[in-house]
Amino acid sequence: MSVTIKECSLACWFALMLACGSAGTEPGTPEALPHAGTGEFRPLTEEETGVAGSDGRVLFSPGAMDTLFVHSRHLFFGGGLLRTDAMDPPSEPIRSWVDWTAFQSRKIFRAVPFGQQAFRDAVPVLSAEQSWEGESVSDPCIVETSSGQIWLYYVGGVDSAGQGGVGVAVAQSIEGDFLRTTDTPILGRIGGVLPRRPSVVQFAGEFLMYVSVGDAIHLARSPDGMTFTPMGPISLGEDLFNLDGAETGVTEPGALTVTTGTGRKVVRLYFVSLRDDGTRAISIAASLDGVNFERFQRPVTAQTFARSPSPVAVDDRVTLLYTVGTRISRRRELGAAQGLVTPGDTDLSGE
Amino acid sequence: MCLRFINLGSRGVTSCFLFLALVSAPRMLQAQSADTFGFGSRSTALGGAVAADVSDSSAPYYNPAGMVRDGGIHVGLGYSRAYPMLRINGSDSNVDVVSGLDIGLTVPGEFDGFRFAFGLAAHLPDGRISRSRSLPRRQPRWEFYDNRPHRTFIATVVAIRPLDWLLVGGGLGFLAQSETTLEIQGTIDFLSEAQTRLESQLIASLPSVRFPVAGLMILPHEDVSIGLTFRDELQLGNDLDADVQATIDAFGIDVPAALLLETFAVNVFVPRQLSLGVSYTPFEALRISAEVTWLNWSAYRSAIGDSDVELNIQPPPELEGAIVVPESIEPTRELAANFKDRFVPRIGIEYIPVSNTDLSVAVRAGYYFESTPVPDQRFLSNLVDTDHHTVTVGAGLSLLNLRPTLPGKLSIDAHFQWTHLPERDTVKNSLVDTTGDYRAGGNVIAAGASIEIAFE
Repeated sequence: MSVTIKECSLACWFALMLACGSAGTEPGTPEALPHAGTGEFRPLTEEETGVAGSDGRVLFSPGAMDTLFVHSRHLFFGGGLLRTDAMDPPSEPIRSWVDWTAFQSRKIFRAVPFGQQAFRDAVPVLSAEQSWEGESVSDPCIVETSSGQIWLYYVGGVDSAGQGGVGVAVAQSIEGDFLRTTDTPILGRIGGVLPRRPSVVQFAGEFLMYVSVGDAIHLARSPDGMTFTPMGPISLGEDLFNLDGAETGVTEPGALTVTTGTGRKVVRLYFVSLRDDGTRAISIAASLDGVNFERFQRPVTAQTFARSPSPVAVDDRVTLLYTVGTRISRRRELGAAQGLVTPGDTDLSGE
Repeated sequence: MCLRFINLGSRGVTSCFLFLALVSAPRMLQAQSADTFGFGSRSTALGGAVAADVSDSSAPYYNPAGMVRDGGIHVGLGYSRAYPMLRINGSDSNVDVVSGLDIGLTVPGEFDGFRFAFGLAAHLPDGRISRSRSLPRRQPRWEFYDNRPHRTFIATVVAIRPLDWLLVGGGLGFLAQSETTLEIQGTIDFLSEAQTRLESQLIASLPSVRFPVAGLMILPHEDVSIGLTFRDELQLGNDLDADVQATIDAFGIDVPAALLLETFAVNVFVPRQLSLGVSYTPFEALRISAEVTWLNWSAYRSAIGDSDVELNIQPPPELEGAIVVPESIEPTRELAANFKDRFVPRIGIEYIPVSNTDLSVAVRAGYYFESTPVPDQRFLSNLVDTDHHTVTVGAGLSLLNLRPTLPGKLSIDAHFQWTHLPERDTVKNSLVDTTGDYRAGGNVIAAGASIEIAFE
């Protein structure tokens, strides 16, 4: 008995000493920290875009591009091809955005995924056909309905010809053919001003359309997504950020609906803040009702000339923000799709 | 005058030993692993409701007065391991496993009929002696599982028994905080890495922080005991100063630059706490203990520290306008924690189904509820915590007749502990808060075993 007890005791002590003999490890890091998609975005890296070389951060640059929208990894953009009879490019690069006189009438193009985050093979999916559309259509925005239909909102008459307004076309899939549902705009001019850059989201059982009207962002509401009622300009909250000069207007809304980690439904609205020094700061505001917004008091990117922010929620913490940046080609300043991401520690290179 | 260790017969210890022990020994190094996961298998299995019912080697931690309750030297060694499985917004927070050795020792004695005891308890983490890390305030962290459990814990206390029904114990604890100074001097050359010369010096010190502990046990009846324990608060700081003096070679033009960074944060805060427990033995094989602990969490200032940054760059005239130096850098100021006090009720039951002259077998169970002291994190800070429901079970085997191998008893105990943290929603006041809303919750399971020898 005594030997058994001794052995038992020694075994227990030995086991305990072995148990505590394990080596220490580095402190654990969380699998993923919560992030609201606000705050600062960083540009995608070459590893993330999958495009090597000097254009590593350019996701797509087919020519002239004024607005874009990304849905299901497909890029929709309003753009035009260079006219064959275009005048020789100026001796100095045109710094006043795209010189549309050198390009054909704007159409809406669709490009397919390429590499990690880039795009290629743009084909036109919608051209101006109706009288109210004048000669150009642009400013695409995609909404996928619960039945899987793809609704393409766009702006006709952007070249000042025709009545102009916001129209809608429907496809049965993201790569399908788009057919107009009406022969009239679903949202006409507001106060005589052509609405631009519609951004439509489904929220709280209705469709909310944010549009640029002059230097303000307006809201229009719809129960079915086909007939919208203008609700007037919305306030995005007081602008306290004045390092780059005072704000002179807000434009180019890009809306996104998200459900927070606690189940709150929020509309996040990315937009361009026009500064009095001529720069553009992409900012964000958020709302619980789609009408009353609280503003984040810093630009979300250091880029000062980016346009047409189009957000995509990758998951409940990672947000991609596509913008139209600038690219000089043959001394002409053109648009180029670029990508930003937040939070900064996100690594999309493996996707 | 004589000195005699109870039932041990040791006579070679002088009175100096007693004097030195009373003067210098009462120090307790209060760690949070024991607060969070318990100390010793028996006490942990009883849900920690042992302020009125502890006399084994865990007494120095739970109630030092218990060291003079039973008499006999107790030497205990245990190992425990806890696995936090905590999630935020469905993602694993990867909170570190907490594990280590629990060591306990109580040595009672008698001096001219005056009964006393020395005690030692220690928790030695097996992964790291201590861990400190400061996180950005926007980064959510599990406040009670991040740095807090990763501390070495050593306790030495004394106890006396002035009256048969009155037991008193106490000590003074200390723990080290961190003070670090980093000095960098040299030249930075933008164009040539080889021409860049920087010398650095790191000075780190761990000055101690002290706090008192005390315990009381009253035995009004052979079947009833009452325990009262007190621990004072403890704040462990994390003080970091950085002094960078460099000359920046900007394309051949020397630009002197200086950066002074001073930060201070409370890395670990242990609140002042008071526990009142009662233990009742309705019949010999059953013991029931209940306890309530008040924890003064409202005294917690902030987990978010102060920082001051002073940047001094003097561009030469030829670079005026090319280098824009901010006039000042906004300091970070601590955010009030606004924690609230909490009361922790505990209950423990021990049943002894087998007891004879050779062995006894005990089964144990316990439960305690800890309401979270952390307020809703509606603003900038993100200290994550929820209520805790903890259920414990355990068993023990004591071999009582081991002579001549062992003049006492050998106890082997084991415990299992399950803590459930129900999900808690954090809803931010600001819709554009960069962290945003989150839902946090999870479970923590822990298990351990200990072996104790109690000399007669």
